[in-house]
Order: sequence, then C-alpha cells, then structure tokens
Amino acid sequence: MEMALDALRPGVWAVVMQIDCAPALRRRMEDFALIPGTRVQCRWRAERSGLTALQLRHSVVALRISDARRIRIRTEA
Amino acid sequence: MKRPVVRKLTVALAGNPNVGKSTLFNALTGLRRHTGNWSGKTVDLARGHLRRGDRLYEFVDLPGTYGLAGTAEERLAGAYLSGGEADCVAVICDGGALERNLILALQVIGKNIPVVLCVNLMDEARRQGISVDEKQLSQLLGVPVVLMSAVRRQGLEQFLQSIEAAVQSPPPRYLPHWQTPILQAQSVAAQCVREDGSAQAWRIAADRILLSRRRGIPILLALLFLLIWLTVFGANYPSQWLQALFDWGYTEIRPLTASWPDWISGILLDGIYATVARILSVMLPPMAIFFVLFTILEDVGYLPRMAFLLDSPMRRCGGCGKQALTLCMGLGCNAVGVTGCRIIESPRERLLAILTNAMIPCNGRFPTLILLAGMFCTPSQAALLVAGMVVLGMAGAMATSGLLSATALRHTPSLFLLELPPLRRPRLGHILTFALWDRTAHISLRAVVVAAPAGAALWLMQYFGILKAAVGVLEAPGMLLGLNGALLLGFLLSLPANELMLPISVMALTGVQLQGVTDTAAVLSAGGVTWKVALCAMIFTVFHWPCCTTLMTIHRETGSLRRTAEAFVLPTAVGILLCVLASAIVWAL
Repeated sequence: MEMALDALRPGVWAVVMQIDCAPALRRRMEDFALIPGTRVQCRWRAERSGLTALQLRHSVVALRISDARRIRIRTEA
Repeated sequence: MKRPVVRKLTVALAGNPNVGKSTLFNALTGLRRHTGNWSGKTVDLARGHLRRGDRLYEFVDLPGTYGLAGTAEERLAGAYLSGGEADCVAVICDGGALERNLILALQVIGKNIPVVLCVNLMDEARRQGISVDEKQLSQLLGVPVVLMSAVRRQGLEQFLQSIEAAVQSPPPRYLPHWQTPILQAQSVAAQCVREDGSAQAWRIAADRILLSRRRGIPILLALLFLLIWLTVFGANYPSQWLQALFDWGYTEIRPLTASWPDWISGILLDGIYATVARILSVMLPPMAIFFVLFTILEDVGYLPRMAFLLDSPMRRCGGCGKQALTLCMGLGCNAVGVTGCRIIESPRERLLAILTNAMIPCNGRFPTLILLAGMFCTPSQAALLVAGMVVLGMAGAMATSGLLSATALRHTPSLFLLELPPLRRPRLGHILTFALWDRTAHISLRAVVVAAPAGAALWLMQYFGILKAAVGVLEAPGMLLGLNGALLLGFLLSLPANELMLPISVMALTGVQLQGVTDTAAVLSAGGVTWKVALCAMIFTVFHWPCCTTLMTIHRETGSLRRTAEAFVLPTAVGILLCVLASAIVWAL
C-alpha cells in the first residue's frame, strides 16, 4: 500500500519510494542512507512531540513528522 | 654506530561521528582526548605519534563526518584527504551500522589513496546479533579490512599490519562509477552483514518507554533530580574530609614560616594556599560525582534521546532538541556547551543556543549554589533547591530563546535529523578514567592555575585595603540586587573562574586579615548573609556574565565581538531583572 511516511504505524516495514523535501534536509537524509529504495520501519511515533523514530537497516534516526509527510513509501505485505 | 633510518607514515583516521574514532586514536597514540556519544566532538585536527621499530606512525584524527562535501567539517576532511599529506587513510566504521558507514568509506576509496577499513565497535555489534564477513568485505572493496574493538584494544596489532599491507599494494581498484555510493553500500552490506533480529527486542521496548512523552519526560526529570541530589548529598562528606586535610596542612606548615616576613607567608599561605584549598575542597567532590554520573548517561546513549524528548518544547521557543543537548553539556562546562552548539545546523538556532548557554549553571557554579542552599536547608531540601535553580536556568534560557527568535533573531525552523545510537551497557572502566581523569582532573587543574595567582592578588588587595574599599563602593548596587557589597564583588572578580566567587566574598567579608582555611558558610552567616540574601545570590549565580573561558569560546565560535558582548549582557540583564524582582518580593514578606 502506498502512503506518506508519517502514516506508517510502529512495527511495520516499508520501502521508500520518493523523497520530496528541501535540499539541505534531503542531503542529511542521504547521509543516513535514507533514499528511495531504503527499507524503513517506524520504531516509535511520538505524536505530541511531533517526532518519529525510524529504524533504517542499521541505525535509528529521529525525524519530524512534518518532514516525514513529504516522504512516500510503500508498505511491505 | 649506525642509527636506524626512521620511516614515517602519515595515517588519517576518517569516519562517521560516534564510531569510536577518537577512542582508537587514544589507544594508538596514548593521548587522552574527549570521545563521546554525540557528533561533532573532534574540533581541530589532532595529531599523535606511535613508534614501532624503525617505523614512525603519525595519526591525524579527522572530524567525524557523514560525507566529504557538505558541511564545513566535511569539506575540511575532504580537502585534507585530497591534499596528499596522508600516506594511508583508515576509515573507521561502526560494526553495528556498517551499511551507513560504508557510504563514506566508498567515497574515501574513490580518492585513490591506500585505504584500510576498520570495522570498530564489533563487541557491541555482536551483542546486537550482528556479524560481519570481513573476507568477503575485503574482496568486494579491494582494501584490507580489520574487525576491532578499540575500547578493549582488540585488533590494534592487526590494524597496524593492515596499514603496511595497504601502503605496499596499489590503491584500491574498486572504483565506483556506475552506481552511487549509497546503492553500492546497500549491495555490499547485503552481502557481508548478517543480522539476528532477536537482540533488538529489548532496545525497541526500552525506546518505547524512553521516547514516549508520558513516561519519558518523568524519567528525564527524575534522572536530572537524581543526578543533582547524588551530587549535592554525596559531595558533603568528601568536602569535609578535604577541608580537614587542608586545615591540618595549614597548621603544620604555618610554624615553619614563623621566621619569614609577614607578607611572604601571607601571600603564600593565606593567599595562595587558602584560596586553592577552599576551591578544591568545595569544588572537587561535587564535580567528580557529577561527571561520573553524567558520563554514564552519555555512555549508555541517553543524551540523544533527551534531545528527542525536548525537541517539541524547545521548538516552541524557537530552538530545537539539540539545543537541549548543548544546555545539558553546559551543566558540565559552558565552554563545552558552546562548542557543542556546532551540532546545530541552522546558523540562527546555533546562535540562540550559544547566547543562552551560560544561563545553565555549570560545575564551577554548582558548589556556590550547593553551599548557599546548604546554609539554610537540610541536604535533601538543598538538592531540591539546587535542582530548582537548574530548572530556573533552563526556563530562563528557553524564555530568552523564545523572545529573541520572535524579535531580533527571527528565523524559519531548521531541519532536524538526529541519530539515536543503540542503547548500550555503560563501560565502567572507561567512565571512571574518562570522567575522573579527563574531565575532573583537567578542570580542577585549570581552576587551580587560575586560583593560585588570584589568591595572591586577593591577599594583596586585602593587605592594602582595596577589597574593603571596593566592598563599600559596591554596597549600594549590591543591595539593589538583594545581595551585599562583598557578594557583588565576588561576582565581579570571579570573571576568570566562577569557582572563585565565594572565596573572594569570604575574603572581602572577613575584613581583618584572613588566616587559614576558614569555614565558608560560617563566615558568610557572620557577614550578614541571610536566607533572603542567599536566595538572590543563587539567582544571580545562575544568571550573570559567562566566565572568561566561555567568553573566549563564544568569540571563537561566532567570530564576532558584538555577539560576544551580547552573550555577556543577555544573562546579566536577566539576572539583574530577576534579582531586583526577587529581592522586592522576599523583603516584602
């Protein structure tokens, strides 16, 4: 199922399809290997803090939910 | 006799932040340097040497970076590698996050310099259920690969052999051209890294608790209070022992100087010795305890999680979660906190964090707060009061940030991407040597170096009646702030080091020539420091100008005299405002 990353529920794995955000942030994401094709899992979603912690293959990265909204993903069955 | 020819090899250490690069550097060169669990710690290019037979290795520690072309630090590392000074580059990787680390490694390999790939933190990675096939990795990349654990000094010998192998063989032939480093890293990692997911379960469960607001914030506050309580309570006894020891030393030395002129024994004993003794006995125990506890939090990887929790309140004040991190570093030392602001990407947010950092009481001010609070409270109440002062400092820093970002320093919210390193068990040996030796001993030494000449100068000022005259002049402005002349003089003259504040006030208060190591609290009480005065003094301790070292650091970091002046004026203005308010309230009671 295709959706934005901010809608990903904790524990579910997905593949990044498209990243559509400011170049500076995009570059930082590339540093963490967060690019189209990367598998991600939502590890924790802090709704009121507006942050989400993503498990990439080998590291955990925290991201603002407002930024996660600009990343399209496809969940794995 | 023929001297052996020394052949020198320059080896650059490159790698992502937080992969144990500085730990490896220390293990190789025997130098002790700060390594920690947040990024951007390595400031200038550190060099260290290792002699092995006729071989002299020079190791150059590059700043921890994710790439070679983005931020200032990345460009610095990239320029160094292109400069041709290094005979060989060791790329240090985190065995637990190899795929991400390989992106940088592949970019370095593309520079056509001999490369050794060190997969560090392997003990930690194995505990996470991760295994790395180094033969396959070496084959795919075309460079020697060493698995190691620098903290345990495992794999160092093999590392040196691999350097020799790398410089003797031609540069790596695996030149990336048909794929981006990111995709290559993915495919290489997929072939060389095996992961058993079961070891992750407790970390995920722990993060669900630590990162949730409902449970995480109370835990954060409890940890902060525990930190301060243990510091205040635990420091009491060693402080008394040290004071007794210095007292005994004074009474033993005093008779030996009986034949000396008054002013010599005065400067040496009542000036230098007494001031240094007072500072060490008051400052050393709380600092040692604080740094051990803080280093544990740092070592288990809690600090970035704290930044995660505090991002949303900080954002409301125009900052970001990383500012909370630098504020906490400021608890240790404001100069360290100011340098730590480099981890904040947005220039405006970084400036906000720099300008407000001194509102967090540092370790040099802790003893002052503890002593003032302890004059009128039981130790538990004192801990609560000191914790309250830290919270007040945090609130002041956040309110000022919010005010500034709404007025003079308007900006758009910055990007926020924060790595949460895996939680790990604290390494006690590392914590003790690092917290006690590197931090406590280092800062104590600096304080003593400042205190000794200051002690002599103070004694002379006392001798010629200058202190007394200054107290008289400062009495009126001091009263306005709810303080008195002696305390205000202490604040003014402690610009070189905050630790000096109470010793100076004590000297100024005793009026008559000071002799020996006196009980600070008793002198203050006799000098008319009531709980009302003490409360105002505590507020002013939190909010006043930063010390010299911090001001110099701010100047270095901002490159602007104007910003440095603002960093001086801002907390002072807040302090004056709060003190006038507080004194009006308490005197009305």
